[in-house]
Amino acid sequence: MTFFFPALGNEVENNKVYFYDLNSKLTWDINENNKLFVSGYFGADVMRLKFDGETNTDGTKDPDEEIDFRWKNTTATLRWNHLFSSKLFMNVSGIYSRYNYGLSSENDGGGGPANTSGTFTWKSSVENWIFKPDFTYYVEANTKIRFGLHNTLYKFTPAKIETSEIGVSSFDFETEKGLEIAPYIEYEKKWKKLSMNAGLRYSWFGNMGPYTVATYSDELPKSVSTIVSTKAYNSGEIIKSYSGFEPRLSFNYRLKDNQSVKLGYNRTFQYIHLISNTTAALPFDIWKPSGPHIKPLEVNQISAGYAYDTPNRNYNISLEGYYKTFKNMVEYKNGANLFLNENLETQLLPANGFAYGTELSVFKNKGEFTGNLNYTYSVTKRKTTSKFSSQNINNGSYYPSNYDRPHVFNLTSNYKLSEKWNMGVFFTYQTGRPTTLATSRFKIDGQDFLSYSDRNTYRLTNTHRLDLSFNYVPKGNPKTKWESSWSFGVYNVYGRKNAFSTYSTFNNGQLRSFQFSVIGSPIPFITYNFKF
Amino acid sequence: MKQYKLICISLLTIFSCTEEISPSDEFEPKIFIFGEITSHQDYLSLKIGRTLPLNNSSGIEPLPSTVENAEIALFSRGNNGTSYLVTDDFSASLLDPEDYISSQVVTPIIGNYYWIEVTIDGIKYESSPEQLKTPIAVTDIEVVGNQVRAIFNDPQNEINHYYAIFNFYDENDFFLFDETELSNDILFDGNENAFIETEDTADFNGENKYGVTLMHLNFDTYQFYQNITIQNQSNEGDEEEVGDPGRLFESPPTNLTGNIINTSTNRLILGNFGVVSISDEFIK
Repeated sequence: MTFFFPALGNEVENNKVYFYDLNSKLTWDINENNKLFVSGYFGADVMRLKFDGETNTDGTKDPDEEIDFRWKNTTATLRWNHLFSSKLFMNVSGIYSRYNYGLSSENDGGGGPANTSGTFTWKSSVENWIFKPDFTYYVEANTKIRFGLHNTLYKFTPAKIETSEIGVSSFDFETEKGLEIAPYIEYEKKWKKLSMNAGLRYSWFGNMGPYTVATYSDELPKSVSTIVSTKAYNSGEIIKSYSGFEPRLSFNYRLKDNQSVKLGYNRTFQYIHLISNTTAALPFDIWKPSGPHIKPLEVNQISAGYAYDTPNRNYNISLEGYYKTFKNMVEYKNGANLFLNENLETQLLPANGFAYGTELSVFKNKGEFTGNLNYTYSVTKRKTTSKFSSQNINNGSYYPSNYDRPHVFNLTSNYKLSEKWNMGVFFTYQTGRPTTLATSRFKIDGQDFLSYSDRNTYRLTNTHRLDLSFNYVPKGNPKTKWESSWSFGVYNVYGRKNAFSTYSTFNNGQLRSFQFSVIGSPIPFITYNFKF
Repeated sequence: MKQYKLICISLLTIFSCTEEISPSDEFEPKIFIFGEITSHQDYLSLKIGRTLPLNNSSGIEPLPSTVENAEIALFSRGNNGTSYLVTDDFSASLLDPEDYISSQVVTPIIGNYYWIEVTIDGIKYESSPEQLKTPIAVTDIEVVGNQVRAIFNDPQNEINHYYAIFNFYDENDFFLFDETELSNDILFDGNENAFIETEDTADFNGENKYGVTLMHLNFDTYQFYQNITIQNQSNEGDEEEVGDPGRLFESPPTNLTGNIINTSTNRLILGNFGVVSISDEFIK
């Protein structure tokens, strides 16, 4: 699919934005005990911009320039399904996935110091190789055991830059590799009223060479000026490894035919970290494996719930609660610079956190009018734990995470107007997210500056929104299996300007404050869905 | 069953918007200390004051909130590891009470570490020591289109940080305006033709003279300058109240904290004391 920008004038008329996705799947029934599945996915988003060189004040003309951004996703899966017996079967999967993005620019003369042409290419990628044999053994009708081994090899190429521009050096940030090996076993048993799921996973993660690791002074916060030595590791050499048991246990007990309670606990380790301090995700965000300077994230969670169906099964009510702790999260220093930074650890701080919450849901499942009503109260906080207290955010105290929204109320409903038409309504009300506000100003050498509060000390105003849709579902053709539907509606019906952020600016020394809203008006939409 | 969902027509028109609101009534007064010692022999000047409330409906420029009787001491440590007091004789300027100036000229020594201790109302503020590096000379200036480029030889196998000041003069050598650029050497480490260039300078006239001074920074001060740059970009005003999708990808606001801590609370305060070597101005 290709989009052009004809309305934006000559400067951008040659620009192109397009994307494409390719899916394929092949199944081979070798015999009744063996099946082979092959699937693949390839997708790309491309943005190509062409700029005509501007004419300078001395009459000379800047070179024309072409910039090309592209993001690609590739996945290939090979799965073998084998039945050893009526009680034991196996799935062995081999998966390769790759996400890569690139930026390249080319000018046709004049970019370099000697008016030479130049090219600049930046490549970055994340690749995974996964091999996982999974077994399921049916001990009896109500008892089964799952076990297997998950192996993942990660490869991260943070940035590789090649250039022909004079005065700019090509460079290649070292590729980082990690290997995760995780055997697991899971036991599932159902009794008359009680069911249980007990599992144990042991994960081992190794950060592997070749890679050069910086060692920092123990006496000072990490910065490039406190590097005391570097050590180069050979290919395949383990730089740092982590391991741990990840148990999980859950029970579900049926009190009556229409009532049940559940209780669960689990622990997980996450060895790969997303390094990004922007409010919204960017395609250029960096992924980094745990290693000498970044420990794996450890999450422990307990949860409990109660579910109730009304005797006529028209309504279903559930109440759930959870408490989570986070150990070794990644936080960002004030003014963290993550862009093309070979020593990312100098910009990061270790952090711990916790979250708890409760959720009440009411579902109406039958009748012309169906829907659900949901209210969540939750708290999620964190604190940085650098041993250098001056580096800690908010002096090492707990503060709300960016996602902390204590009150969230959602209403989803659907009303059947006729055989072919129905109407959908969605309403949401949420506490505003935490924010860091300017709280004073000062001037240095005639220039105005702002001083900000501690991180996430304040909150944006609460948000709410109403969406409305009308759905038309024509009768399907039983011969072709073709089914389709149309949706017409309006997103943000009453044009609520929900605050995404607030900020202040100086204009000729005059301070002005603003509120930014991502969506500030009603947005109509039409959707066509089909399946066959 | 396979299911494919395709959005065929989407009249999705994103109307992001920006509305002007009243500045926050919250006020947290804070101490700030700004200053730097350079490789040039000179008096040492520090800017010391308190921040002011955001809300100022008077329309009149607010007076600075000055700090009286700040006690300042400049220390140094040489190669032999011995620390010594360079000077503690500072006084507030009569013209600008936020400006504290040393009573004697300071003669810096390349390779030495320098830091300050400032006592205000019994609380001591201290900067972390920074080394005075060797100045890096600009070897040439080139003009590429509307951009001016300072060429220099970046030392190999060490991470260097620079702040370049481009001065523009008219044909009678009168100073017109300046531009500044901050850079580390990631893109030109060890390159003999390393360069830092200005943004596309619309004011630039090809007949002007231009000069470049290159400041060789320590990492902490580089990060502080970077914080200033980030905040300046964020603070740049836009007359029109239009939606700016770039606000979607903003990082948390950056406080101008550098290398000075309040020794009572062990928290970083606003400001920085930089130790900066400066090249001679290369004029062309």
